Amino acid sequence: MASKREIALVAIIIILLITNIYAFSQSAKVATLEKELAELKAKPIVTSPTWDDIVAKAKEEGTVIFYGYGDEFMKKFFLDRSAEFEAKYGIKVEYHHGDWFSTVEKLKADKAAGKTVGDVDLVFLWSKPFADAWEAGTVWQYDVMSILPNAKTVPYELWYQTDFFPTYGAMVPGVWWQVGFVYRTDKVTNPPKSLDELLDWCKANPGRFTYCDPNKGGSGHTFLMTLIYWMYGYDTYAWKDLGKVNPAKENWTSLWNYLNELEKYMYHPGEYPAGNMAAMELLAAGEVWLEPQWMDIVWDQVKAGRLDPSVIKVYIPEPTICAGGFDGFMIPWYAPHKEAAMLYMNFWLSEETQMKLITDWAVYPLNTEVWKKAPADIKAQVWWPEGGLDAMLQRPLWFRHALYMYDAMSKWTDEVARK
Amino acid sequence: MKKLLEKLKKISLALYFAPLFIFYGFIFAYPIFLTFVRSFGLFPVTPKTPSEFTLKYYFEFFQPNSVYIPSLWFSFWNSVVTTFIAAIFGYLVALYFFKANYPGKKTVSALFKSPLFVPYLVGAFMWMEILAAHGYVNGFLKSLGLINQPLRLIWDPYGIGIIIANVWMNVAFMSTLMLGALESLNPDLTYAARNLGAGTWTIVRKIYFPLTLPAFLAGSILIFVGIFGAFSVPFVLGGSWPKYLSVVIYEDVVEHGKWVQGYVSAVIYIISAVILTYVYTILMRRMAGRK
Repeated sequence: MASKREIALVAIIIILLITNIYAFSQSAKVATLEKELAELKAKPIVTSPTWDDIVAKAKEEGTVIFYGYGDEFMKKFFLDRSAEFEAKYGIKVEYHHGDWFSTVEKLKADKAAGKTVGDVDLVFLWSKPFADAWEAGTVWQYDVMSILPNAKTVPYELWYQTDFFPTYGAMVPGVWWQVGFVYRTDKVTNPPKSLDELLDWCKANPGRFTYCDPNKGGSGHTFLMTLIYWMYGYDTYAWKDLGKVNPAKENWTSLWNYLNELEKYMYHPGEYPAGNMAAMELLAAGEVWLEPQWMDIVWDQVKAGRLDPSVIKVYIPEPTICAGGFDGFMIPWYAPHKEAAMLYMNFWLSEETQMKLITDWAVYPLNTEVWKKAPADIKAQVWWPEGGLDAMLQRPLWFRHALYMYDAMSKWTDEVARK
Repeated sequence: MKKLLEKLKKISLALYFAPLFIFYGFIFAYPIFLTFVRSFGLFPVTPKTPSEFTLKYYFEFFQPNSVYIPSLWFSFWNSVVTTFIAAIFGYLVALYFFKANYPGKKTVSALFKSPLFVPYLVGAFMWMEILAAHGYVNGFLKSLGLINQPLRLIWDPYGIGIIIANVWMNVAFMSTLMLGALESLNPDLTYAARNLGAGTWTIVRKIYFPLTLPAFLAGSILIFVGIFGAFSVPFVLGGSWPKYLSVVIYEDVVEHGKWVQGYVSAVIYIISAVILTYVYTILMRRMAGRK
């Protein structure tokens, strides 16, 4: 049995070993950083390129490393578009399908490690992870929107903000996701035409309306944000102090009172489906007759045979439902093929690719003119809200405000779920 | 000189194990150490976030109306109920297989063990389909005319679905453990008890259970610790409120970017699990008459 002195001696040796290893790793890191800084200083300053310069450079680069996320149908969509991009430009697309959270965490870790050249060129993500990535200094701070020729087809309101988080042109919107009210035509003949009528409709049809937990599904928190605008006014929050608001001071007492009142007449009061798909399954099973839902989730379920299209209709109640999210692309600061990434972004905004959003997916294009050219039989499908994008554009366009939305999601747990 | 050589021998022996200690230190101790340190706001994960000592996230955790204490309590009692049911059922299943002897017993035993091979997340989705309002259980009960409205078995405030799924996945574990313990008992004890006129229930109460109590305790503690901090089952089957603390950690970190708050919850989780396991072990040992 070792004595206390011997144990202490061994412990000291181990601690010394560990600290020396750590100190050595830190000094090695410093040496690497100094070397990279010297290399950067030696590089010539680059002047603003023309689009032709960018295309030429992109072909020279020959590769774009693209990180996407989403369901299986999104993965297929990205892979198909990437194959088309490769065929058109001869630039290889290395596609990685994962999730936005781990991709942004990887970028943060690489930034913390001091990397200046990385292995990610293009990231598809939405407002919150973009904001995280921007604040961590991992976004290439270049006004990409101002240089892409196809960007002029994108509504100008989306050039410099996403869910009212400023993007400075560094995030290029790619899709227009839309939530609508979905209802069962075999059970409902008179859905509420407006948000004003929703509560009365629920009272007349108790247990037949639901929305998913806003913390587990985007249809839930988009619905929540819509109610905030409906109740307190869109202009109260829209475009205000872009990126510098203080949502903590909002009480939203009327909103919580309304939601608690609504809950009494909802499906299984106190029970909120754990996500978009869970809510969709309840509607497909006929347990609920009306709910807010993403139109591409409806499309996916119809395509998979899990939802009967003959008993479904989608519409936008008055005054409207929040438009978006407008997920899109950004280029990390250390992307080794930035020009190829910009070329891909421009390709995504081309008429051909934007049309594919309508025919091969069920999301609105950013180029709204493309909708007019879409085949009539596609536009007549049940997953598009009545009137399609044309009708949507006649309504007020409410963009979600991410900071208020996230605060509301957090408060929803306290003010509604816990009550 | 002889003493010095002996001491050097002992030190060199300890040094042989040093790489192993360093390895385990990095794999186990370092992550826990980092979690603990980061819960005070030091060495933050996010670049550009200053590293400064703060207790505010601990204060937020212990705020009277915060989500954290109720979530910790929910995680605790839900896990205790699951452990109790899984342990008892596991023991009964083990007793059944210990005593039963019929053709096809091995096949039946293998079927009972099948949950051991199902990942928790897969099991959670499976039970979601079975217990959902439009699922098999409600469909069956409706077809028998026993219910008009579907029962709330998932996303409910009591975690019924969580309990059912976790019990299903842990009964097999407990029964496997207990069967091994039962089979290691000296059969002469059973014969002697029978000779003295003891019935089966008396033998179970007076011989089997007391002698297999250490295995029962060990199995129960392992089940509890495993589900207390688990994520996938409570995330899929849990309701909007109350939630397991593991789900709250996920929402804090992934949805709200509140990393430090997540670390605080993790530290409290670890400390709670250690304390509860220690207290449980002491109590059970006292009940078993051990010092």
